[in-house]
Amino acid sequence: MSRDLNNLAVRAARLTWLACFGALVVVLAVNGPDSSFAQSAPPSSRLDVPTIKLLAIGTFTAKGTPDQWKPLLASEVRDTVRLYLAGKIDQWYLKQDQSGVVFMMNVTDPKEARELLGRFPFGQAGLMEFEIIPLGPIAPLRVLLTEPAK
Amino acid sequence: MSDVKNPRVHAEILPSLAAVVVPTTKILAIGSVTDKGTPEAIASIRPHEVRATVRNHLTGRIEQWFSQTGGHAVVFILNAASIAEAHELLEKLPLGVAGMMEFELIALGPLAPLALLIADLPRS
Repeated sequence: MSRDLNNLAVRAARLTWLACFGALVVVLAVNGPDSSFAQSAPPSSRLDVPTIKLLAIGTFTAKGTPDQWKPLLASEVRDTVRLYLAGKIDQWYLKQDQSGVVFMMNVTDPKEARELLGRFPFGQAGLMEFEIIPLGPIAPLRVLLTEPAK
Repeated sequence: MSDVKNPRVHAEILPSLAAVVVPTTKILAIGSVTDKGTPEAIASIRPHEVRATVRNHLTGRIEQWFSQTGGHAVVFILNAASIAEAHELLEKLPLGVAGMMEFELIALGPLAPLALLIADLPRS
């Protein structure tokens, strides 16, 4: 008798669990995938976009005088080309005021970018520092989608 | 006779490496929202700003455009040959006219140190 009661209790517990799970599925289905994602993500707005690239602006430090960086320049160039060939540097430019370089990087984690650039000879010697700006698709274009197609 | 030239390589018409001066080919424009640029104020101007930006993209003057994911401003790479030219273009954008967005402008050119890799072609 007590065994039957135990079995009954176990079944009831299972049913309760199933009911809860079912309810959760219904809630998720009604609210759609966006709102279920929003529960674990920061509050989103119409201007939220993912980071797709990093802008890295390299500037010589006070230590980075020409007599310091010139002997390392050939190795710096080779490391830069290697990083390009690895697909991490998408675009490269020299700042016209000769204060450093600008890279557009195919990297989304600023920490990874700092690690990669920090291995360059200039970085190792403390001659150049990078400002990293995370970039995403230009969000305000979304404004154009709120209007009916013509 | 040892200096048989490849007729396809007209080295004499190329400037010597030392004489190469890197031109300004792009302007990097990093936007920042001013104190006047409150979210509400910007929202009312945004539809005009977007249209002006797209127009400049379609004429080829704004080559690349991004949003800063850590802020509310934009980053452009412009096809402009001088800071003055870029400034003139950007200050006419609605948010610039309204004093709600400012741009730091950085003149860019080809990565000149790459010249080190082409300086000495090993003789065969």
